[in-house]
Amino acid sequence: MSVAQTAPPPAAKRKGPKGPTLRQRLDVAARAVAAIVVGYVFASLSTAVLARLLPGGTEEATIAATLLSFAVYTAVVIWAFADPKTWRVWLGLAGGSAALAAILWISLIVEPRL
Amino acid sequence: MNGSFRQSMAWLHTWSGLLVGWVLLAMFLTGTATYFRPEITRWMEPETGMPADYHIAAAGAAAYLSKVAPDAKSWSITLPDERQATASVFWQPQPKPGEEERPRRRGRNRDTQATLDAATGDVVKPRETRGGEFFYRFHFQMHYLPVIWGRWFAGLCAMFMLVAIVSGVITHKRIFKDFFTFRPTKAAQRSWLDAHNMTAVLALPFHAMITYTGLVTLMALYMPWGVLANYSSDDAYFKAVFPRAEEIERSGVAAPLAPLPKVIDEASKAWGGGRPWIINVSNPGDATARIEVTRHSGDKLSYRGGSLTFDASGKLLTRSPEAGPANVTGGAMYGIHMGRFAEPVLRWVYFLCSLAGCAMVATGLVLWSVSRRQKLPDPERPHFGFRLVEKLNIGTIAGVPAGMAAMLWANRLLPVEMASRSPWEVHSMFILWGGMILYACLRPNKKAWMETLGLAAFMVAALPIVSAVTTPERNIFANAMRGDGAMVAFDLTLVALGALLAFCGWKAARYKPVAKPKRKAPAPTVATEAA
Amino acid sequence: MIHLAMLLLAYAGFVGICVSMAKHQPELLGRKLEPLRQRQVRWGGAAALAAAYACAVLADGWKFGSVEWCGAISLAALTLTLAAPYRPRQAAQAGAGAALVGAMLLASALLLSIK
Repeated sequence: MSVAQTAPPPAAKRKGPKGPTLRQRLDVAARAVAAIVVGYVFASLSTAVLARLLPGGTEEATIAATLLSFAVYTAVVIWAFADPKTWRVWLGLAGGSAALAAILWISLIVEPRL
Repeated sequence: MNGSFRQSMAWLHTWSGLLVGWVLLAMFLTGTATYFRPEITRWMEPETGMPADYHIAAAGAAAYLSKVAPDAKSWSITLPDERQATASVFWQPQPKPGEEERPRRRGRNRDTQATLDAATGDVVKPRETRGGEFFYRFHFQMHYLPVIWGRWFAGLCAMFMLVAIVSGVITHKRIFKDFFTFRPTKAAQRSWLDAHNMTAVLALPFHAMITYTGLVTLMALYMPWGVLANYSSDDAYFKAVFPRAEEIERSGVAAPLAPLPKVIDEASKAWGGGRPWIINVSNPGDATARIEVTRHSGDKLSYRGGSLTFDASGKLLTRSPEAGPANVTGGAMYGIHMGRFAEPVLRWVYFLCSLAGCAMVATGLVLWSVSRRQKLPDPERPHFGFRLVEKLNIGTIAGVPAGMAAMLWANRLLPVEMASRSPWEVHSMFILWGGMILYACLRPNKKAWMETLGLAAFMVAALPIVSAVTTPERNIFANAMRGDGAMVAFDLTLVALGALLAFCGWKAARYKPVAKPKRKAPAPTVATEAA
Repeated sequence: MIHLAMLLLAYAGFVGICVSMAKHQPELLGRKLEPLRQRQVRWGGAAALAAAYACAVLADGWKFGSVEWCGAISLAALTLTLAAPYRPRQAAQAGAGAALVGAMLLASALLLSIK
């Protein structure tokens, strides 16, 4: 990794030595909240859905889903900072979470918990 | 972000690593020490003897328990392995009539537990200390925080680490081209970058493994949602995953308990060769007694060794069910993190890889400030945030090893009969760490690096002498005469680690920052290897 | 002993791979290698790493052995990378010696296990 890239947030470079503008700070904050908070919600819901849908018995599916959850969370965080558009991150995570929640809800109605 | 994919990943790598870098370094260092947890405990409890065969320890524990708690509801014996010198026993008395029955936690009640010498079965009363257990606990639940908060915080830091690892790999354009590249004589920024890349890339399997499996060890806390989606309560889940035998009422018919060494041999045979770890006896002395032998967690890759249940006469009744593939995978991830199966060579491999992890975090922190300094509007007068990072770097990279050593100093120097002795051992670690940060704030950077690293080196390397003076039976020659190779190696390792810290201090002393900000003299590149 | 063989072969393996990279040849060898020779050295290095894996499996079974091998090759690569800037020639020569001794140790361990 070349350090020339590592230091400032890429967008800040164009703005000169003044440091990031308010807009950029807000952008970073929005992404951080999306990644850490909404990302956790998304990872949790995906774990819950996988735990219900994976084959191999309830117990096995539960453990497999939970083992995978941290990989899902990491991928979400990476995406939240990689996507050029912040609104897309929010839309994707919120929409994805809503969809997962709907699947979970239906599956809970079809087959209640043990 | 608004740059290219790689640029945003570089940004993410920088900040996810920096924000929690100091905590990660402390977690890495104490976690590294934890690979020698039993040895640290033995060092900190000089009143205890030598490791002994677990058959002897089991017989001694059974003799002790049938003397002090013959009609207990249950006994629990944690046997020593070849690295531990004591067995710990704990018993649950019969609930008094009318008393609310509630499960007691191990370690809560001092009058229903004891530490027994592995060889003789006699009660030993070592000085009050947390031993190596403290480093183990600290590295995943911090200190001065409620346990659950500490664990959440450690988990958050581990997630930052995982993100830093993934984004770091994406950022690094030349992983294979620069695989063996280390240029200590190039410009400071270049050689720090090399050192960071080298310690990160070459031990990458270890770093990725230890971070992910670290999260897995506490996944029931961090990610309970899979369980809650399938089970109406945690209890229902644990009953399904770890089925426990139903409790049986005492029959009142007395029956002698089968000798535990014999039961252990039976268990070992049933496992096809394996060591016992915990023996639980319910209803001892009664015809309904049940002996549950849990397998040593280091026997298999999976941390969950399973258990066998015997009746009072020592006949094998049941064995724990075979686990499914996901369960085994989870157990193996847990086991690989703990490394309890590691024989000496592999344990040292673990230890050294983990040291490389410490060096990766430390070089990353230093790299941030070295590469940033040149981009500051006025490198001579950095702003507050930058100076804070520099001071925290010095105070933490030198302060945590020094603080850990301070805990061992306190173990030897605090009066043995002192009240709340073990808390003060722990306080001494944080006092020194905090003191180092303050000290770094008061001194110019170069002097601060030299002096803090020098003090850390002294604190670590002088420990064998402190130990020899305060506990003469534990000087290195006495240890060697007794054939206690582990304690001899412990002292020698301390000296080696102290030398490593001294080398870093020496490098820092030779470091010549050049007036021109664009070109810098060779950096103390290896400086933080020891940290 | 077999553990020592594993560590030596892991080191030798990375010396082979490192020497086969053109950018490291001047410092480690003092000359450039022919493309054919380069390929031979690279495959030799890979073979030594595989032999190190055999040692680890022989010593501790394939489960523990795999963990051990991962750690051992990391340490071997770190050792080489740390040593090369300071003592390049010796680091390379040590690789040849390590290969020889490691192979002998592995061979004797194999002979003993057959008997």
